[in-house]
Amino acid sequence: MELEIKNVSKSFGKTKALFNVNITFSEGIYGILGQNGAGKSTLIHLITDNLKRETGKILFDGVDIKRLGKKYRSMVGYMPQQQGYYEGLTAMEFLKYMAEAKGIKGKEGNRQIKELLEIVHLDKVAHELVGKFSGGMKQRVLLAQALLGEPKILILDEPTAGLDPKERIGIRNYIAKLSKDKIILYTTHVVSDIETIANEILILNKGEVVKQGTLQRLIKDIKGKVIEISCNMEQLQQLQKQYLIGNVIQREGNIIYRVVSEQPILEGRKVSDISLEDVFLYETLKVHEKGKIHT
Amino acid sequence: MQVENDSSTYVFEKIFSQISGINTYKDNIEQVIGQANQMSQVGIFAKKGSYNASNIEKTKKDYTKLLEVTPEIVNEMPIEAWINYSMCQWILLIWAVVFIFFFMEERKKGLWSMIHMTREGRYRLAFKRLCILISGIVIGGILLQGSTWLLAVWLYGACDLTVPIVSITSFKGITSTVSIGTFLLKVAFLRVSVIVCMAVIIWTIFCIIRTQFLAVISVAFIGGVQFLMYHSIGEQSPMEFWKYCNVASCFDINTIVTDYKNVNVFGYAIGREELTCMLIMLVFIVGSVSCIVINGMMKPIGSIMIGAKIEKYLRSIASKIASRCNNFGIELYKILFVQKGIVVVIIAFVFIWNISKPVVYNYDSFYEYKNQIYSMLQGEWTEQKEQKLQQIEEEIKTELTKWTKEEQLVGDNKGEYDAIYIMSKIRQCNLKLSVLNEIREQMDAQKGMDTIWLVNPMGYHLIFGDIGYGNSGMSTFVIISVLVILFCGTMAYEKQSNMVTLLHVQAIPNNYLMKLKKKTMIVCIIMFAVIAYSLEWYQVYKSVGMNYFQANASSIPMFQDSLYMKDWTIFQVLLCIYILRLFLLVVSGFIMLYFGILFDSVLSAVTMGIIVFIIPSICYLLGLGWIFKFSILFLCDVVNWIF
Repeated sequence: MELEIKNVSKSFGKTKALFNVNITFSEGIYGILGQNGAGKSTLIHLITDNLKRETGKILFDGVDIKRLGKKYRSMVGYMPQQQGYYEGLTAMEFLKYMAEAKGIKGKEGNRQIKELLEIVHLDKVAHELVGKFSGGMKQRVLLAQALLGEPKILILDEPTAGLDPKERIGIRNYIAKLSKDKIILYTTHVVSDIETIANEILILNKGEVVKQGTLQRLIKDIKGKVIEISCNMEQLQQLQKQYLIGNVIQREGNIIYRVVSEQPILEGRKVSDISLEDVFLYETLKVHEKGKIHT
Repeated sequence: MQVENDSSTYVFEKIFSQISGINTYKDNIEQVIGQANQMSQVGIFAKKGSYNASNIEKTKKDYTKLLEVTPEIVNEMPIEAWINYSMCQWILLIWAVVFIFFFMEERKKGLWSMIHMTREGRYRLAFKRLCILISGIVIGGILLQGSTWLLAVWLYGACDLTVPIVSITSFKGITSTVSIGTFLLKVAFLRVSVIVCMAVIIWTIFCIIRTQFLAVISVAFIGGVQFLMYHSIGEQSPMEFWKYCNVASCFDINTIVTDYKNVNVFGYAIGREELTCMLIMLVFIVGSVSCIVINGMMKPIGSIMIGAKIEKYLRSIASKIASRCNNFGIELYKILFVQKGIVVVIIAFVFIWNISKPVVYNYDSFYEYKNQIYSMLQGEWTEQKEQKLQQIEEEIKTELTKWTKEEQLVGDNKGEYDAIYIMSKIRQCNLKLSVLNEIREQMDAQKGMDTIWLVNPMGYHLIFGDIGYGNSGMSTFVIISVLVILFCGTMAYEKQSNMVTLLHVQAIPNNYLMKLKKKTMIVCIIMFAVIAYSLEWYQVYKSVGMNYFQANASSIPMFQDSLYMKDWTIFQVLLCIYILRLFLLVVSGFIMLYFGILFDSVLSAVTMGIIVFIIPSICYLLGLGWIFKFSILFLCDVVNWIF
């Protein structure tokens, strides 16, 4: 099973939202990271055929998704970033509505709805209005609707937005269990969401895929470039002007400025426990000028 | 509104008019056919292949088939009332638009991309929605028109539906040979079909234009252009085709079915009714297919279109204006624009504009005569006017004597006139005398006053009187309905928006929000009432004219009963009525505002408001039982209290 994005570009007026993107997805979880406006949602909208393509092709097992039409859509489960629901419907009614829209009717539909409500722990409130749910509960309803029809491709656009840490972990763990025979695209700008579960990570910046690979590979690529410098408040301001890509950490009463830099830094110590956040900072905040990387 | 004299006069006029119509039916048709034959020999009408020749031929053909049917005496009143009552179409159109707004909810609620992504969330869903829309309109149409028919029968009595439709003599332009029952079903079907077509067009526009605000403007613009085309293009104009190939024209079903008219369609004469049917079919097919295709193809995420840019620009202007207002201005802006109150208000004003138009039936010669006499004699009463009145009286009495003699001759088989004709003439003379007697009574009521006035009371009866189904309350009822929709849910809106809790912790006085709402409500009521009653007055003034407000109030029969206002002028009485009405409307507004506090959602508040305030008011208007005198409309019915 393969989902191929080939030479896909998309502009909104003068703004290039995506530029010549080439990616191939197969079974597993793909974390798509990027700042706001990087092009994550545009990519998702193109994959879900909610946005008209400008150039390029999106192929599923070699066939254009437009040509596949209903067949493709019946294989996709989509959880959008924007929480969309009818306030006046109960969770059960809303899932029933979505099941019908997905062509899952009658007993099969009811069975799946019941099962999914239990999985997302909403079985006890199935007959309450979605409008009255908390943010986390609404997200779980949306996740349940995305899972209706046992889709082969699951697209989750910021699925943990607005959730507390416990709920976030719960959803993450559940998605990890699903990945065996599915293509799961998981977009987020919260790095910890995908650090532990993603098989492969894509980092988008200004409409381009700037980095793609496993977590280990991405970390290896910036090994030796992450430095921690102990300092006081005055020194911190100086350091922040000097090294733009950095993170301020408070540890045991000390201020530590964690810098990601190409250039060697004498005053700090090299860090071995590099995280995906460091990779993300490095890839999204560096400026390219004629092939040279400045920090 | 109906302009009528007393009921027995009205009925007799109708019967005589019908009898006269039936007696001259064949002659009239043969006259039309004869004229057509003559014209077809002449000049441009003789030119074969031309529109004029085609028009003549078609007219001959259409009228010739009328010779096959024979009209009969039938109770016309329920049919006329039902045909002329076009409010059903407006209500049905609003009903259809509500459906469309519900379909568009998925876009507002952020569900569009999710549903668009599903297997059956495109073409199939669009098709299902189209079926729901059509079914909703059809069911609504059946219920509305069915209930209106039952009401007409209840008010005016039943009639034989198997009689040919040509028996309805007031519909002079009908060239159909079908029965009344078939004709009514055809009209009902056409009304529903037109609304279905309009709904399909509106939905297509809403689908194409992403920005709801711009979609509404586009619909209003297209509707306005069509309306202007229909009313501005002349009958014989080269653009006549666009006058009738037009949504506004199709909406005017009453005129289509009761007026005979051929339209020049590329040189051929096609009946307006046939053209309308063809247009309906075409629009339905094209519109339905477009709806489904556009719904299926339209992507939820699109490029920033010009509509969004225009909306953004207009919103920025509105925002700049609002930012310069105090909270009172913002509150007004919220109610009218954010909560879309302006739409409700505009619909209400259109409604008042239409219902305030007096409907006068062509054959009502009594009304015409009354107007004629009043136009001649009204104003400050003088010696010359008294002499003129006496002279007119003499003339009528002379004529009455003449016809009475003719009646005796008929009895002796010596008369040269038809008995029915003589009876109608005698009846007319008596009616004219009754008009003059009314004028005398108006004079007598002002005995002892310094100046005696003659004022045409018709306009005041139309606005304040209990004519037909109670016109005096209609405008007030509409204002009350607007208040229910705008203000019953206003506190619930704040609760829904979580503003109540937020405002509660601010350093502002207690009940800040309620005081703000009350201030806004009072201003809105004054604005609505002024505009609504002005529209009503304008419509009546345009039709019957109302002057001499400085005249004594007792010159108007309906104002004579008040003990307190005998020495007042008409102007003073009107001022008193409207100030009291305004006060009672404000009181009603307060009641609705406090009523709305009980609810947490706008929908529940407005629904309950409709049940508690509007439905009893409707029952009061229809005179259904004493218990409905506890409705809010009864509270505001100042004229009832005073007179």
